[in-house]
Amino acid sequence: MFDRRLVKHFDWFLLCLILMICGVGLANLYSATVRTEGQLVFYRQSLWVCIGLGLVLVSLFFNYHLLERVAVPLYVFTLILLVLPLVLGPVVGGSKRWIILGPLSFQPSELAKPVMVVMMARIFYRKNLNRSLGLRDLLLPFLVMALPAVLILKEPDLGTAILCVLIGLSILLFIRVRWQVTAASISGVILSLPFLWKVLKDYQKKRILTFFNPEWDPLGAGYHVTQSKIAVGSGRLAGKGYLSSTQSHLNFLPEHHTDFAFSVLAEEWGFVGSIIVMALFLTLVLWGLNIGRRSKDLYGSLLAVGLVAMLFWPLVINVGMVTGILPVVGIPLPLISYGGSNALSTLFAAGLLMNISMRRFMFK
Amino acid sequence: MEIQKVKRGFTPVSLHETPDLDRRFIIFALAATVVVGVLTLRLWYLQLYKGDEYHNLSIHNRIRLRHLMPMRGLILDRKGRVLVSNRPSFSVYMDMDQADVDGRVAQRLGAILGFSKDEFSTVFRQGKKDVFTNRVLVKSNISWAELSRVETLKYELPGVTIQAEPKRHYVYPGLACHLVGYLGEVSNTELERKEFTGALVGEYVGKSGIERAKQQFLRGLKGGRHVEVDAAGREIKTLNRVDALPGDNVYLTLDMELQSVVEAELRDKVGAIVAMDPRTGEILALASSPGYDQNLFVEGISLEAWKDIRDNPLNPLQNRATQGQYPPGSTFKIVTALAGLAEGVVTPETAFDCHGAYSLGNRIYHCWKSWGHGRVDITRAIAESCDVYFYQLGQRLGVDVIARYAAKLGFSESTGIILESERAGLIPTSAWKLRRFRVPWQKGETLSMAIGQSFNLVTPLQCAVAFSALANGGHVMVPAAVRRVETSDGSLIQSFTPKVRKETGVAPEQLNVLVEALRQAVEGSAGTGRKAAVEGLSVAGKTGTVQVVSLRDPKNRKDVEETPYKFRDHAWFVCFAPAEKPRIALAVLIEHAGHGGSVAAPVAGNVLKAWVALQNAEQPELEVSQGLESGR
Repeated sequence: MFDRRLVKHFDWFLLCLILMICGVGLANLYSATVRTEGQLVFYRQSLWVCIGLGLVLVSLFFNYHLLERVAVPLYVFTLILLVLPLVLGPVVGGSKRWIILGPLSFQPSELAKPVMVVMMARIFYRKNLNRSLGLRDLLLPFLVMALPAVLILKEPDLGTAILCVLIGLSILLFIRVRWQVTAASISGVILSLPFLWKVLKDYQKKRILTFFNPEWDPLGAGYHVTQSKIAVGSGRLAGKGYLSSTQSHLNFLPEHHTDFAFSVLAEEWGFVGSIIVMALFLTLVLWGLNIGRRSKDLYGSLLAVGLVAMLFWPLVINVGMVTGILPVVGIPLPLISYGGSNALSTLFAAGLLMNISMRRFMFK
Repeated sequence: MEIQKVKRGFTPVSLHETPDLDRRFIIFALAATVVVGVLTLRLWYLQLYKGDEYHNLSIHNRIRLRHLMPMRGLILDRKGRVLVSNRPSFSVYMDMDQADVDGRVAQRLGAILGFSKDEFSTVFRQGKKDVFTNRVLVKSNISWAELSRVETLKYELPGVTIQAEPKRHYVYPGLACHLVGYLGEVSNTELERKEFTGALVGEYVGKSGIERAKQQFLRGLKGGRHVEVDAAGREIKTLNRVDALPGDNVYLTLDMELQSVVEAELRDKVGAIVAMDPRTGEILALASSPGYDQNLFVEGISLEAWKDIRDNPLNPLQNRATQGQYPPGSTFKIVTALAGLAEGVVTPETAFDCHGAYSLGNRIYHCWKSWGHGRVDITRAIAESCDVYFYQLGQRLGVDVIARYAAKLGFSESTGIILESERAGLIPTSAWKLRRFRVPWQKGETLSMAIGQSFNLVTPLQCAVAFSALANGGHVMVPAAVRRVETSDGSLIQSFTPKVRKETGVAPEQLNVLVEALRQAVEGSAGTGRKAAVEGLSVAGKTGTVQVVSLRDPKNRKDVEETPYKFRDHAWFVCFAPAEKPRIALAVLIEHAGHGGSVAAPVAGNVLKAWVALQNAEQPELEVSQGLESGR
């Protein structure tokens, strides 16, 4: 079953990139929490990352085409998991995002992202793509994207819902679509914005309004962003030094280990540190795109695109958010922010990319 | 598209089925690079271009947040009279940086507020701290004298701030306290619930009654100020300010005047009264005694006051109208009667003999009238509350049929009122008993059940709802406490529409038999509820006397005054009026007071008298205002 060529083509570079980002993330998390939350947060996240890396290694033994075959049941299973917390989930911080199994708890919305990618890639893989696609061809992919997004929005978790849509759209960018359909969809989206606005919860509206006018709500999101900007800015060129951030230490910075973890990093390591992290992520994204480009079949390509989108969009939204150029929608920075479910889903995506990469010369 | 295909020629050969996929990868990669570049540019701007500025800000972190608390919405009665409003209250806060017991600021402030060193150190250690604003609460609700002295010495008290906060004010202390509710500090578990989103630690939120049920409307929206402070914590300037948005006003269905009358009737008694409009389910008055003064909770209740309330054996916090569960006593006979008529077991003409007792098996079941009622039909049986009639009827119906009709009138289920922790009561069935006690239902128990003793438990509110259903032709209404909700500037948010919870499904003629019988109970010469009669008003009602100790022992048949308090009977009277076109339904329960006919019925009579007077007073008032309008 195991082929020597697989070892030969193993993507050591990608593995190194992932390990480096994990290392940076854990080190930063330690600094962000050790003085306020204690060491437990660090240990828990380390455990999650180790579990995730273990899963990556195990998954490499299976051909990623297996996922194409089980995509439908996997997708349905994920939808059920998404409905579960809505029906009987505990309310944590005003929303129902968690499934709790004894000592374990996880967010099914994190699982939904890679599964949606797997499903969309399968649908397009099985279509004749030598022609431009029309509206009817896009109906199913649209549903596949919209169902989890709507369920996640219901939790309510606006950030992850937006992420799902962005990931789905990223895959669509690689499909030839009739220009009329593109034009119609864009105008449709613009027209439906007022309706969407009505569906949003009060605090979600507040956050978006705060973005367009940062001084609008000094209490919630506005305050967070102001303090985050101070944290990032005060890092200057070289930063205040590891374990020396004052903003998070003095509790000015809210959510300093989750959504605003990057602020702590920027404060302690300055512009130099921030740039290095940005470079690591950009390399990861470009490398992932290259894997997609060189994949032996369309399925691998589309899968890679979706997985890269899973890494790219949270980076943009999270860093944009902590530096005050995007609204606070509460998306964690993969492998840097605290969160077990997120770490697992990110590492799963990375593992799949490796999988595609090492099988690029293989035929069934 | 065609041109793109041609251009594809110089990309490396790929296996892709879509010709321009490769190009799209390159575009995507370029776009991603540009986006990351923009983020990097932003980092450069914050960290290098503006770095020194932010660094300075972070050293002292001079930006503080001052909340502006909104005015909580008013609570008004059905005629727009304000029951609950707000008044300003001032609190002294101190910057944590200045929190030094030996510091000069603490000494000066201590002199004004009369705080000793020890008191200050307690405040600094255990006082309420606001992490957001980096302040600690020194004293809340300071007097005008203290306020003016702190304000005058402001410049010698760096780091000391005064915050004006609206505080809840219950205009008529204790009035409708169980319905209106009170406020308290939000708890950690509450903070995670939806209706409390946005509440800050230590914030006062509705804990019970309407204050809690309508918390989301009443609370309003917090505002705030971003202020820059100097090193000593004094405000230098306000960077920006967002005003708080006052909460919405809630109009109750309650009539304040009727409520006062009801509470006056309950004074020094223990019990509950519910008055509702049988046509719509609107609650006109709802009182439970003893009550409490909600103003005690506004500042955070003192330990002594809390102990007084908590340790009071009569439990003033309990809303007896919705949470008190009592055996219904003879008021339950209407259920048995309804079941008998609707099931065709008896007709209005059917009569049974009452010799003062009825024997089943080897047990004798007494009628309250030991020498007997003679031959009674359903009308007399209800009017004179003959137990033997209902023993016989109950025996013919069986427990489960009676229970079914009890459920049709809304018993054994919550009424659906928006007040918290409503109790559902209990109506036994044979299946229930087997499940609960693992013993089958005994025939004799049906007899006790038929006259409302046995395991039956009901709340006064359920009784009011059930009698309303008799009065309005069989609709079991959802009792409503709120008429409408308006924003502070008067635009309507919620308005009330009567809700029918279920239909009794009994023919109107059969209901009329009961109404007539209930009328006889008050107006008839031998009726048990004669003391509820009101001149000029036809009242239909039923008395109930709940034996707390068994009547079998003749020693227990004593006068009220001779019986120890906790062994005295509970007194019930439930009625509606006017009998032919009911506009008010009333349930009166007085604990440990004696007979329903002698204790509860007069109370109901007094309430109804006051209600008639209020109705009469209202008419001319309305005409006057209408006259004025047309005159303009």
